Amino acid sequence: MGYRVLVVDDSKLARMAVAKALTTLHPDWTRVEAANADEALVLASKDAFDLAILDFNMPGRDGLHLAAELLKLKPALPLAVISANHQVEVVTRAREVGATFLQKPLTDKAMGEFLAAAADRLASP
Amino acid sequence: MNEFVEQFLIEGRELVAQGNDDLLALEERPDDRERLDGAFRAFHTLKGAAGIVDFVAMSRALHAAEDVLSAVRSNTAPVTPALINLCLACLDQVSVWIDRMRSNGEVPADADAEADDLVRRFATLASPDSAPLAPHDAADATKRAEASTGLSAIGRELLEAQKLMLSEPATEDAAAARLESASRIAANVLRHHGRSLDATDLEGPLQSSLVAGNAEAMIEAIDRILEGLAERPPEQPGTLAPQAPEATLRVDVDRIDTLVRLTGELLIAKNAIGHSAERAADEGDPRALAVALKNQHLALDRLVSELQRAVFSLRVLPLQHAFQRFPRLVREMATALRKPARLMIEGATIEADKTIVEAISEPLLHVLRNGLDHGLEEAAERAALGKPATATIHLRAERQGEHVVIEVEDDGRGVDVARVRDVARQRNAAPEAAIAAMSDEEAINLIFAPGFSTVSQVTDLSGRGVGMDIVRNTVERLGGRVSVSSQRQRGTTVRFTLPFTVMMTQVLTVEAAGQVFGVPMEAVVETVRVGRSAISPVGAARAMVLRDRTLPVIDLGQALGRGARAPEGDTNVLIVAVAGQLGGLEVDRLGDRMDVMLKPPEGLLAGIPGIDGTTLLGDGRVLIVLDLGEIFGNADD
Repeated sequence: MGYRVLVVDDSKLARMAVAKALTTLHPDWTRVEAANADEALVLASKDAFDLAILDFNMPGRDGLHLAAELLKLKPALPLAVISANHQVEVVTRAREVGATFLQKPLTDKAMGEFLAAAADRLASP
Repeated sequence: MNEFVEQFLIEGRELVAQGNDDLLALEERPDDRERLDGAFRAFHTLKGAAGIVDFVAMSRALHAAEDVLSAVRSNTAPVTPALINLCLACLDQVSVWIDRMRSNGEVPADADAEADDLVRRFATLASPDSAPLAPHDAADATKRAEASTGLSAIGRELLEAQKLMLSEPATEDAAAARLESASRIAANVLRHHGRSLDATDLEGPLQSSLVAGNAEAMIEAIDRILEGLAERPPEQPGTLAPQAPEATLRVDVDRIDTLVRLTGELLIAKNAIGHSAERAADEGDPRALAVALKNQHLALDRLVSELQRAVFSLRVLPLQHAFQRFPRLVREMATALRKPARLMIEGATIEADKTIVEAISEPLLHVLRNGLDHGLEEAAERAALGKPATATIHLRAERQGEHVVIEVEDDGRGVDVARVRDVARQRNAAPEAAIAAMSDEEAINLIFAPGFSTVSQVTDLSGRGVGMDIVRNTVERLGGRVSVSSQRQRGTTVRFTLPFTVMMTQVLTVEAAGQVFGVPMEAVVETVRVGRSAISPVGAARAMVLRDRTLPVIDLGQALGRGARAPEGDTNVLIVAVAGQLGGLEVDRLGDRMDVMLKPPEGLLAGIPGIDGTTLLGDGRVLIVLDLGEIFGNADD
C-alpha cells in the first residue's frame, strides 16, 4: 500500500531530489511538500501523513526542532533528518529525538534503507 | 537542460544574492547573529545544490567557505574584512560558474583550478601561519614566477606590454580606452590560464583607475598577477559580473490565471465569429450580419488589448534585479576613493518591464560612480562643513502611473552651476546665447549635453567610462527621461523617469543585396515562392498575378541600387498590405520573426525615405526596419 510522505526543505531543488528518489523507490507513495517548519506544521495539523523527511538547516526553526514538534503530534512517526554536513552534534541530536540521519547529496541506497525500515515499522502495529 | 539544472540555476542566483546581502550587512554589524546564520545558510544550501547537480568543484569551494563561517558561528574566529572579501569573492566565482552553466547546461569543465585557488585562499585565511610564502630566492625568477602564477611566457609578455602602454602619457579619452583594453587583455590572459576568478577581480582596479583618472591601480593589479600574488589587498575586492539577461522569469499565479480567463473569453469570441460566418453562408440578412460582426469585432478588440496588457505584465521584474549588485560596487568604489559612503535602497520591489530593468543597471552604475567621484567631498572637507563622515547615497524607486521613477540622491557638495555653464561654453555643448538664457535648473542639465563630457567620444554603449550624454542616450532609447537637480552643499539628485512597459514591434527579417532588413509583421499577409518569369514588366514597374489579382512587385535588391536580375529561377515574394492595398516585395531570403524595440531613425538615416526605424540586434548590428508605405508609394510615382 502507498504511504504519504512529508518532505520539508527550503530549497526546491533539494525537494526535487528527494521526490526523484522517492518516485524511483516507491512509485505508489504520495508526498506533500513544505518549504519551512511553519508550513510543515500547518500541513501536519490539517492532514495525516505516515513518515517525514526534513532538512536540518532551514530559515526559522531547524529540522530537529521541527522533528520534535511533529513527534508531539504523532509519537510513532518515522522521521529522517538530512543535512549536507555530517556534524556529530546533529547526528547525535537526531538519534536522541528518534530520527534517522541522512547525508546530502542523498543516495538511493541510504534513502532506500530508511524507507524500508520506516515501512517495516508502519506495517507492524 | 534538465529540470534539475534549471532549478539549480534559478536557486543558485537567488542564494548568491542572499549571501552577498548577508555578508555586506555582517561587515557593518559583525555581531548580527541573524545575518551570520543567513550567510552560512546561503553557502550551505548552495553547497547542497551543487551536490545535487554533481558540481564537485563548486561543492569543494563552498565547503571551504562554510568551514570559515562555521568557525565564526562557534566564536572561534572573528569577522574580518579579509574573511568577508574572500567569501564575497567565492560568491563571485559561483556566479561566474552559474553563468557558464546557463549557456549550455553543463558543469564547467575547468572549474577545478578555480576551486583549488579558493580552497587554498580559505585555508590561508584560517591559519595564516601555514600560508605558503613567496620564495625570496633570486635564482631563476621567471620559472619561479611561472610556477606560482601559472602564467605562460606569452601571457607574461602580453601583460608586460599592457603595463608599458598604460605608463605612456595619453589624453583623457585615450587613457580610458587604454585602461579598458588593458583590463580586457589581462582578463583574457587570466581566463586562458583557468583563473577566471582573478579575471573578474580586475573590475575593481579598472573602476578605481577610471575614477582616479590614472592607470596606477590597473598597473598595480597587473604587477600582482605577474608577481603571482593572487590575493588582492583587502581595500580592492572584486565586483560581480555585469548583468546578463535572464532566460527564465518567475510569474505570479494570478497573472497566469488572468491569461487562462482571457483565453476562455477569446474562444467564445472565436465561436461567435464562426456562427456569423455560417449565417453569412446561409445568406441571412446582411444588415443584421453586419451588426453582429461589428459587435464581435468590438469584443475581440477589447480582449486583444486586455491580452496584450496581461502578456506585458508577465515580462516584469522587480528592480531588485538591477539594484542587487550596487551595495557591493558602491562599497568598492567608496573604498578605492577613500570616501566612506553607504547606499540606502528603497523600492527595490517596484516592478518594471524586464528589458527596462536589465538595461537600466549600467546607466545607474555610471550615475552612482559619478556621484561618488565628483559629488562627494573628501573626508576633511565634510568634517569642516559639519557633515557626517560617512556620506549617504539614496537609491529609490517609485511607481507613478505608467512610469517608474528612480532617483539617485547624494548628500555631497552639489553641482556648481557656474562651472557647468563655463564648461558648456568652452566645449560648445550649446550656443552661447542659449546657455546665458538658461535658468539654473536648466543649466545644470547641460551635463547631459553631447560634448559636455570629455570622454563622451568613447563609443561604449554599456555606459562605462563614458559621459553623461551616453546615460541620457541609453535612457531615451528605452523611452525614458533623465534629469538632474542640485542644491549647493546639500547634494545632487539624478532622476530617471522610465516607462513601465516597452512597446515591442514584431518584425520579419529579410535579406536583399547582402543586407538584412526588418519588415513590420503586421503588414505581412503571406510569403510565396514564384518563378521569376511570372513577374512581368508593366511600363517601368513590375507586376504579378496572385489568385486573380494583379499586384505591383518591387525587387528590394533593385530598389537598393543593385541591377535587375534575369527572369529565371524562383524567387521569394512577401505579400504585404500597405494602406489597404496588396503589394509584392521580392527579397533574396526570408529570415526570422523577432520582437524589437523600434527607434525612430536619427542622424544620417533620418533623411533617407523608406526607413521606419532602427533597432539593435543581439550581436550589436543595427537592423533597419522598412517603411513599406514609402517604398510602395514611391513606386507609384
